[in-house]
Amino acid sequence: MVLSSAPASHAPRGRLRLTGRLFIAVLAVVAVAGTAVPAVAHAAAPRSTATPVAVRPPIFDPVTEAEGAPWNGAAWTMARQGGMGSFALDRGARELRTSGRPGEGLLAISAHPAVASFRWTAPLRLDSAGEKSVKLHFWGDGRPAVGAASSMGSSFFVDVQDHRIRLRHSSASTRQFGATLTEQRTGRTAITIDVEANSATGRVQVWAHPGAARPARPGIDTVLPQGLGRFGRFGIGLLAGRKSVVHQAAIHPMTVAGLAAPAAPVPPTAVRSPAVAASQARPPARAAGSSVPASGTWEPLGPREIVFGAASEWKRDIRTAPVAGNSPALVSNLARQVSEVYGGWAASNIYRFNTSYHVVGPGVRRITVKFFDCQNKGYTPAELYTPPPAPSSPTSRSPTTRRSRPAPTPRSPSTTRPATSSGSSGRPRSAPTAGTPAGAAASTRSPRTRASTPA
Amino acid sequence: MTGVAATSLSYAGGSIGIKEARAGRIDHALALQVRFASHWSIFSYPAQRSDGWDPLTSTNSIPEGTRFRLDPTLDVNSLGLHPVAAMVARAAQQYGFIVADTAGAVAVVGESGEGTKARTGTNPWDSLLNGTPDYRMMAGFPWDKLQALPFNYGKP
Repeated sequence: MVLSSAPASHAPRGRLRLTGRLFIAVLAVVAVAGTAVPAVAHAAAPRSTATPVAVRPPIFDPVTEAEGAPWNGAAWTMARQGGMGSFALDRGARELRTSGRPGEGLLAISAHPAVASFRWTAPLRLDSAGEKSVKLHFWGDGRPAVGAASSMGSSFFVDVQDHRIRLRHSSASTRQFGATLTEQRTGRTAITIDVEANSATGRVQVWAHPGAARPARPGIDTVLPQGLGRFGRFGIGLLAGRKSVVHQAAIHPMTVAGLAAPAAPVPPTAVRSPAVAASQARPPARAAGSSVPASGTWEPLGPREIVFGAASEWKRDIRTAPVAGNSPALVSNLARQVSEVYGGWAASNIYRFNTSYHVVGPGVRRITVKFFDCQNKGYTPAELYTPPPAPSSPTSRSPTTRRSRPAPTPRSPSTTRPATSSGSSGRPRSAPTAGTPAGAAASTRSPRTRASTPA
Repeated sequence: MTGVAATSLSYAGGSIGIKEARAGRIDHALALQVRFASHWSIFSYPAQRSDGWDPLTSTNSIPEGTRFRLDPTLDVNSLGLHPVAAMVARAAQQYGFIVADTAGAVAVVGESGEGTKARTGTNPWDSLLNGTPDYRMMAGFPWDKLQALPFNYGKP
């Protein structure tokens, strides 16, 4: 499952999951797509070489950062919206003030285009005497943020859990799009914003809507002093290969969990403010006669043509291929999936959720990454690091090419399932009707929920 | 070793490349993401696994790995598609789509322009899309003119 760029005003209501694609696709790999099982350089690296990434204390201090000031790749902007009022960071009072009508406000976070993900957590107490309800409106757009070219818009799903509002990034487009409303009945609300994408740029805006969020005093929403410390927990996630991202030492632990240590610290010269990034953009310095950046730091070399193998399935000419007997039904299904949502348009994941691959020179140091268990599987999926086992006999497998999947095990950080797992899930599976795989789908469906479906 | 898609296919092979878009021609099949696919135990070559779980009790669910081809007799020039979508259409006529994954929307995938942007300051897709938002790029694509190839088509 991957995310899709689509008009989020029609954002799907569902729990979407990230796959390792986000973490894998940004790797510096030699893109060889010659077979259906591609060569991807990241996964086979020995994990024993991985060392933890140092996570320093939060580096973002909203008290010392001026309004709208670029901050090494991120900027806070306070902006007015018509009728919405705005939040403003008051350094002296250590408060989050609203300059609009009581209880209304806008808070914006901007991220450097190179930042692959970020998380912002803010315990926010809307300190009212009787009102313990806060309704938030989350919205993203594609307008440029301060000092950074922005092209991302995001919408979020909200998952209320343990007095926290977790916003799961769900759908996005490259321009303006929709909103999600939620309500949390608690005196203190932690707001966590996760933005995860392989080309994340842009900003997230958070409103407290009138009528739901009532401040203690007119015009002021209070961020408790003890909360302000956490208010600065603004972690910039660093995904594999993006060593040029600033503040790599401030990686949020949750993101770090899936990564190995970079080969070397990012030199100060790699740090650019978004305001000057565009003007300074130029090809990386190279050693004489080499295609490798002289600094050794990761720099993209630009898009290259993919090299396909002679037998690549991607290159199979199917103009004269036969058509399936159930083709009209399958096509109707697909066409309906397009027409029912997003105004009847299919998405094109061009700016976001796209495919990043770069050809790197031999001098670029290898970055070892590990499987990031973002779905809390509790185990490393079989066949992640090894090819799938060949069937013992071509006739021993069903016509549907089904293969058992490993059953989830109790969560344990150290649990690793063997790659050769036969995957006896125990789920009953009736034999599908040969030649009618689509029909078999319904007959073999288990009562599991979509959220529990393995990736 | 597996690819990054739920089907274990590589997105690199099925993406719309920047150079291809510049050249006006895509000479390979394209990875297609669908909202709902058949139960994960059912997948069609070249898929090697699946994350499908069709919430509908449809008997016509789409196994991941399914190849769709755009009717080769269709005149793409008459469709009024965005130029990049027209490239997609022509590639779909000759090489087809391969259902590679599920997603929040039926989608095709492009090569990230961030690498080029880091070098030049400009994302090449800005000019390639010529002002069309990416979510509108595929507007008008004749999805109902596709043809599904047989299950496990091409499997050795």
